Amino acid sequence: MKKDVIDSLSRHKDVSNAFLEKIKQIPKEILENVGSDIARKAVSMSWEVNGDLHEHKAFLRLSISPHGILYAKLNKMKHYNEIPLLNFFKKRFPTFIILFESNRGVFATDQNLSILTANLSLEEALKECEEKLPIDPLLLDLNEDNYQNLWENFAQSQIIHKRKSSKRVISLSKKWRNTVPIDKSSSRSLDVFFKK
Amino acid sequence: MGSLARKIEILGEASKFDVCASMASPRVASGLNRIGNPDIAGICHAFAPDGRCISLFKVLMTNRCMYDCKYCMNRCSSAKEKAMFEPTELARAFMGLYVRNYVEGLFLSSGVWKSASDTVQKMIEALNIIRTKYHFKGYIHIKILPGTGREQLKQIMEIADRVSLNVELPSASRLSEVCSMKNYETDIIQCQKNIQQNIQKGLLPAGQTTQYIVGTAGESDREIMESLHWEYENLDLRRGYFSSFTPVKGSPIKSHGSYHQERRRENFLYRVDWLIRKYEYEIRDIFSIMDDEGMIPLNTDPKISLALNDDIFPLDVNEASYSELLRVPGIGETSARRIINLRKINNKITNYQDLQRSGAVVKRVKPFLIVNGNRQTRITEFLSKN
Repeated sequence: MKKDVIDSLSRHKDVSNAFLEKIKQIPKEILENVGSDIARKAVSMSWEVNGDLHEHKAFLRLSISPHGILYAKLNKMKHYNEIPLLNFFKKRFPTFIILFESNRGVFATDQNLSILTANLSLEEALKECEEKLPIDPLLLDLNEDNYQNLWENFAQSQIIHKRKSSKRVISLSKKWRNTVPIDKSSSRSLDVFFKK
Repeated sequence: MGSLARKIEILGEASKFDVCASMASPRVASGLNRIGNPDIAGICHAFAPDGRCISLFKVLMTNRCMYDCKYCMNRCSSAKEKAMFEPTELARAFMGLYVRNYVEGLFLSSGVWKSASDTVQKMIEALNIIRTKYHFKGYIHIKILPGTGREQLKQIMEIADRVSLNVELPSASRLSEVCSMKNYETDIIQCQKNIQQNIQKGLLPAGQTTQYIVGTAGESDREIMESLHWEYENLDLRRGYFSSFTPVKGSPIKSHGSYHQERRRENFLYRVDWLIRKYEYEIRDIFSIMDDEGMIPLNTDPKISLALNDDIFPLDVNEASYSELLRVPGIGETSARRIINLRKINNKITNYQDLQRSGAVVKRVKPFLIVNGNRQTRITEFLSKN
């Protein structure tokens, strides 16, 4: 676990080398069991990094090109998590080329599954890849419907209105709120005010 | 028949009371010519307004059903709009959502249309498209329909990671009160036994689960826990789920308790099930805190009730074993492990701050633990605060 904490810390946007060195000196038992204040700070910072990564695994929606490319812009990424995220999706979708654009450039997996970085925009990288890859008819099939719309319909259908609970609701940071189903029945339209 | 979006709306809503928390399988997806992997757990792609995680594409194949179970929103006498997926449609909708990272896997159930074998055949067709045409190697959970034959069961279990068959009610007599057409022994228990036999032959990496509806037929918590315990012992069940009965418009039966009472009951059943599966409690311990009617008291957390009946307390935090620490309210598996680990390097817990740092909930722990020779003694005050 100590290795994991140090690994995550090294991806934190605000971590200093001096702090990392200090953490490396802490006995692993103290770090793993949050046994001192500095250990607590280190664990808490590594949680921030892992939380950022986990949120992206859950809420980042990918776009699909029929040329066998999955792509997305990482506008909401706080820490330097591009490569672990790419590894995660690479493991999930080994037949696809995966392209991410963050403020550090474009990160991509190639057909040999190694990771490349380039100082391009996502659009440029996508165009370049599409020129080199043939269209996969199976993926054309998966581009027919409006999947954002299908997802919203599905997520809405899962709501049990009687069980809505302000105590149990999981509040997400503002940046991810649009990925969570909004209960249409409780949205306040202007009609409500006109009726008054 | 309606657009795909409308079908998803109808068949998603028809499945919303089915509970599924697991979304990972011990199976490892190997090879590069595939889409998806099943070994990642704990990813929620959205949350419902009651805090439930939405991670799987949870739909029915059809909400047409020949049964007329009184508790079910899809019963044949229900006036709900009916729909049915074509296998290709379902496969395309699911795969499109999966590759865009909207869902983590598929959870497929169904009403029994014409007969169990006809419906299951449709489900198998859809699953075959997903697995062979799209090379999907991710997580699939299939709800087995009561009365599914052995051959179809085997086919499903070769494709799916996990299956479940809803027991719904704890005994044949309770089931007959709300559903006269299903045979508890042949349609449910025998089918679960067939699943178990296939698991023993090496099929189905993530095993089988089941689900109980709470509050439909006047069943007690004791009946539910007895039935679940029997399933754990005899059918190698991974775990049971509970869903409090929520009457929908036109439902022929009403909930036995108030809605909030039933929800709390559901929550307490999960807690005691957890205590048995993870905290080394015996089923007889759970029975000891139930009242004369076989119900778990809803005014005190079951773990606190159990601790109040246990004469091992108070314990010294620096001398208690791992399994003793697990029995302390406010201490879970992680904090117990941390306390033991710290002890190994001679770092003893000397104050409540240390205890809090280990992850324990200090206000719950205080009456049951001795920390540095101190212990909160006024237990009545503690209980009134909780």
